[in-house]
Amino acid sequence: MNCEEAQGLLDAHSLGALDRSEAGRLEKHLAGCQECRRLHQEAVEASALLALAAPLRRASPALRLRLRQRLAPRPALRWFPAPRLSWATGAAALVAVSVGALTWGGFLQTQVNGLKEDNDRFAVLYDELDRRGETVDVLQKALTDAAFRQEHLQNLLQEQDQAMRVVALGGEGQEDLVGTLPASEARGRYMWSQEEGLGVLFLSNLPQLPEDSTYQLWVTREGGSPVSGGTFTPQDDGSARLIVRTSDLAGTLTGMAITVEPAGGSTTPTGDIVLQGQR
Amino acid sequence: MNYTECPDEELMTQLSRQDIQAFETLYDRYGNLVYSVSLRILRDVQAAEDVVQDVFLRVWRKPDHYDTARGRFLTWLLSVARNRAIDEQRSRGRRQRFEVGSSPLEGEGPPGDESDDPALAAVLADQRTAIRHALAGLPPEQRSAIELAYYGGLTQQEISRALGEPLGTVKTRIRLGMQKMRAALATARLGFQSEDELRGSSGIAGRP
Repeated sequence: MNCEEAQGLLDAHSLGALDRSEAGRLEKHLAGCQECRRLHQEAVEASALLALAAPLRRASPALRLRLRQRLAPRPALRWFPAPRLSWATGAAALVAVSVGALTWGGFLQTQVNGLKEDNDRFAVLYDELDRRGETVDVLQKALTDAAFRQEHLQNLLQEQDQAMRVVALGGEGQEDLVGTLPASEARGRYMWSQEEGLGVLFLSNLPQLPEDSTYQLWVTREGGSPVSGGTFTPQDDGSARLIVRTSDLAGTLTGMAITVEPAGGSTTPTGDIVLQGQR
Repeated sequence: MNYTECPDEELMTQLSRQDIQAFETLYDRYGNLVYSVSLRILRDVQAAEDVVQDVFLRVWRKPDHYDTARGRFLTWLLSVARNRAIDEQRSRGRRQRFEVGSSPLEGEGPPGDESDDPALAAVLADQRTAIRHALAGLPPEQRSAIELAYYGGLTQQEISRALGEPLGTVKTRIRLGMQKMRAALATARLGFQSEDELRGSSGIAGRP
């Protein structure tokens, strides 16, 4: 292909209107001809201007939001901080993530599904309000909040899947807890799996407590003082299921106990021990 | 860093450092343009939004695909958007006849602003007027052939079949139409100015 022939095809090529073989021959010529490449670039720039002839329409602000959300990982769960403290931190909580967790799977899935529907509704409403030129700040915040809640609940679901595996496979070990007066009928079993990185504590026959009191889980390591695993309220039938997440689930664990504490919990055990297990 | 004053090419450099603000600045400048051309080609709001999302995610993930040596950023961006929309149109098997001067579709959204950048919006509005005048000044058959190629994604062969005109006639219409359009744009001082002139006036990708 010579320059004259090539230059006769530049406009059509810039419009994408050449068939494949013709485009291939032209591109081969362009690769070796600087002047034709320069003219081709001019043709491309002119063709690009045709985009401006399209009627100008405003893209939905919701599209900008969706795009922005896909750029980077979402921030940490700001509204549902889940404490993940190790024994070694000696801080307030050992993490009792959920009570009645193993029976909540269906409930949580329903919640997640509901939130997905909420998100879709918010997005539609957002678009509609925006088209009407009304403020969307509140909706934007609600949409973002709902997305975080959805993610948080999804994380809980995954955690419960792990707990189910610990129970189904028997874990790597287990300890029994025995009730003491005034809850001599109470029983507990703690199963853990280092592989899954969590333990599951099953409790039963716990008496209901007055509103100004709460149950609190404590664990101790050799030579250390009790560390709180958080407070919880049993189900109506006196049962509770706690998911326990620590850096050391059993290795240096010397004791586990449940006490009755003032509502809100205590920094060190102050009330009666109602369940305890000793190694 | 003043993102608002930053040239497109510099913002693209920032993207290689995962600079989200640089990305948002580019989107605010050209998101409406990309959406508009996609909508013109696809005539489907959802599909056009999908194209916008794909195009800008590509910009975000692979900024190095833009080569400054091969032209200005907006030229490249609009080419990417147009090609992506044409691909989508083909994959949907919804190729259709595009009539010259067809009216906008119902429900495709409100008229947009050129850009969130007021200075750039003014430049783009001038360019829009100029390109429309240039197109309007073409004989209808030349304008139609160009629009079928650009917005319809048809090759010259396909246009020839669609219009029932000889292939040579279609080739001539496209070549003459584009020549006249370039001449009209040159008269309006658009399209082929030097970089300095572009930045000082109204080139398509030059920042005012």
